[in-house]
Amino acid sequence: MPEVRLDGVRFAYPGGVEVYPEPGLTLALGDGVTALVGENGAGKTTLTKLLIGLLRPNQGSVTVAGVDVASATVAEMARIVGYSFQNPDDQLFERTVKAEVSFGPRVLGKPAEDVERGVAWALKACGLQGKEEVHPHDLGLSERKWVAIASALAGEPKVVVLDEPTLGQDYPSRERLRMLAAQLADLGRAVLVVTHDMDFVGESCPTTVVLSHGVVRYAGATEKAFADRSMVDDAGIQPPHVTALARSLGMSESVSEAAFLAAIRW
Amino acid sequence: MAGGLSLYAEGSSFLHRAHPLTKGVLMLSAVALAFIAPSVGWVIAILLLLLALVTAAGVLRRLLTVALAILLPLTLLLLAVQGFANVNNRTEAFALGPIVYYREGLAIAALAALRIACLVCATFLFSFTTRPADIAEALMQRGLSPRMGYVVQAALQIIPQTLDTAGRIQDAQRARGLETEGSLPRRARAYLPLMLPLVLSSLVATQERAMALEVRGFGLAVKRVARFDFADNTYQRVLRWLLAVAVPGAIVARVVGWR
Repeated sequence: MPEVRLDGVRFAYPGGVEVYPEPGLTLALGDGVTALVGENGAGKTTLTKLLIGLLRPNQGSVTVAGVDVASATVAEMARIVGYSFQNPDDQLFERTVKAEVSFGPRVLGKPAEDVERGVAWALKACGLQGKEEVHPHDLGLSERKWVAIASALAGEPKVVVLDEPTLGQDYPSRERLRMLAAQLADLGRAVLVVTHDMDFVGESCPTTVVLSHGVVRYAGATEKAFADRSMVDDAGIQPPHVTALARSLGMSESVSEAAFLAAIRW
Repeated sequence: MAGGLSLYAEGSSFLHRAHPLTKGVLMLSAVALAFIAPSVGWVIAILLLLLALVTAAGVLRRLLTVALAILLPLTLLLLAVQGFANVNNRTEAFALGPIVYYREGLAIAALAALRIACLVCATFLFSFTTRPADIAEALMQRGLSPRMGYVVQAALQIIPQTLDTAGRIQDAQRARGLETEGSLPRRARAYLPLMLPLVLSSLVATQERAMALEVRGFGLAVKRVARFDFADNTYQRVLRWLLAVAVPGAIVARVVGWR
């Protein structure tokens, strides 16, 4: 059963900017890690905001983990969807990392033991152990971003939205992010990664959705997401570097380093 | 997909094309005259003139949307406070049981509300028809220091910019389960999680902006090349002088007995 389903969704911002044209956006996503890619203004962030109820569709329906978003408040949806925004500074206000990470589950009224467990897991998964008592603004941008991601995970949501998680991250952080995505997938969570980082998509996201001008141009396995070159160009995205390298060597499409090396060895 | 950081509304009316200084002087003098004018009649005349200009600029609908949201609650508050509780209230207008509403308070509230309406109309007329960058540029071309020009520009942009940031912060906190609407205690609980990131991000943005300006040579004491010249003509210059003279003239008239 898909964790996320959008049926004929149409949405326009005040002022009349329509994001999803006729007949509206229809999409079904299961658990595991899915990349949501496309040009700026394609409707990626709008889609993720619709999942948690920050935006409401003008037409059509949105269902997340079996819950009709139209029937729930944003706070109710926050129990199901953990959302990490692009800019961590839009949310940080507590005095310590631990207080910041536990804010969401506490606000949602989770039992104390659930809060403790969720926060401990999130801090560990995000590499913030030992920094629990540090003021979030004493951390660098990359670590503040991890605090925001940990905040989204601490409530143990079924669906996780990560908006541009690799922005400003160094190599070890990207590796941690890749491991975290795999870990969440193993736990049966649905992870939606909004990104322009195609190398990360190739390495970490088995499924990819390509949005362009509010239309789903591709939804399926990442290995085949970049095969249609004209679609890729239309959507303003660039295949992973390893894909471009494989093409220039006349090899079959590879989206990850491991697949590329396996093809070379063969 | 957020809105722009300026209130400017694209257009080609004569007000859009007018020199920023002409519009600035018009805004300041209209507000000053509204507050100097002694009676409701004069203030209504200024307000009607401003509304005619707003209509000519093609921004009436936009003005009404924002102005009514500001003026309606303010006017109701003024009418209630002045009509019931002004110390100079003498003549009864009507009574609600033991509570009496007075004519003097009504007159004071009406005058104050009309003056504020002029202030709002003039300010938005200026903001809707003038790009913030043009104001600073026009002032710098008239000898204002670049530092002060930047202060002017930043001051004009700060409200929409802050609203944009506040919207993002509200989204981020609501997505964590924070209820920002509803009862007063609930709103009070939401205050810190909404305000602290706003204050902190404003401080950080100010510091980063200062550094970004300095590294681009903002502090150099050299004469700058103007980005562009604004169209100006004799009519606009005469109008600016007339308006500039009208304000002290009105003050003198009030002193010598304009009632």
